[in-house]
Amino acid sequence: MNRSMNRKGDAGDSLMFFAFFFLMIIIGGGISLGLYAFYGQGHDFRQAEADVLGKRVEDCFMKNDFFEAGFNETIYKKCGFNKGVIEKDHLIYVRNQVGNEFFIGVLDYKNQCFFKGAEKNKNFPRCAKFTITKSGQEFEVIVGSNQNSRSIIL
Amino acid sequence: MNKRGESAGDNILFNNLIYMILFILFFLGMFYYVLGFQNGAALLEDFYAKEISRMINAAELGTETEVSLDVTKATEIAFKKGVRRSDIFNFDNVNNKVIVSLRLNGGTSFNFFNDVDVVDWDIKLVSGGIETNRLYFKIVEKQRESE
Repeated sequence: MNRSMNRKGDAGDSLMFFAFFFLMIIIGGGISLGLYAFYGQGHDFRQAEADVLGKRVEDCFMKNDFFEAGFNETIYKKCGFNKGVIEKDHLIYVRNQVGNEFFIGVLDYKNQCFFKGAEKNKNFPRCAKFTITKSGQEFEVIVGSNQNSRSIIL
Repeated sequence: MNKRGESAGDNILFNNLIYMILFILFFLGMFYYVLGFQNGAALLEDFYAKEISRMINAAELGTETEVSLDVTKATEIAFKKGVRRSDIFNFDNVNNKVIVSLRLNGGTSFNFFNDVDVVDWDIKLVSGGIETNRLYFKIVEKQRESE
């Protein structure tokens, strides 16, 4: 009976649980912020990767017809790209003068890369945009990358 | 029977025990996180993973290419932390991934889009150079399973 009757301070005691977690978040956040301020964010490789990918696309484009039927499947073998990697965090987009489009990967990078202010937002991908001339025609090419490194536990 | 402090004592002990356990878990997590930044290991892992990936992506298809990269700084840190030479750089050809590990039980991975295999990787001393370590690896055509 004493046990069930003497409940003084139980509610306040339970509320301390949230205060404890709040404190842990403040401490953890402070340590992370300090490390970030000291070491910086690391090397943003996405623009460099987009440039390398663009060069490879250009070389492959000169040897193949991107607009033939089914090329969005055969491109991986003909250009030597890995399907899983390209479709996950990259974009290869080609458009000819009459408006026909070819793309593999994340099509929305075509917009995200060129939004006003996108270059200041690290969540947006980085793209390389250029023009290729082939058989007297001009083709617009956009290649993008939004791949970041991943920490793993071994 | 007057068991003063029985329920109060139990509650204080139990509550504090839970907080202590949670705090220890939190502390271990933060410690592991901070340890990754020691000597800039996490940053260097990130840099080398991306640099190696860039070299693989730039390789031409259809030819066997041998590549070397100065990894002295990375290996200095890794050896200091007790990472084995064979564990510092690894290549996952199934998932097209390069994994750099300069600390025990942790690493950084980065994918390469070039559909090739990386084989015969090893860290060697540069001939004639006492303090320079170099990573050598070969980039070959993708070894596909026969159907």
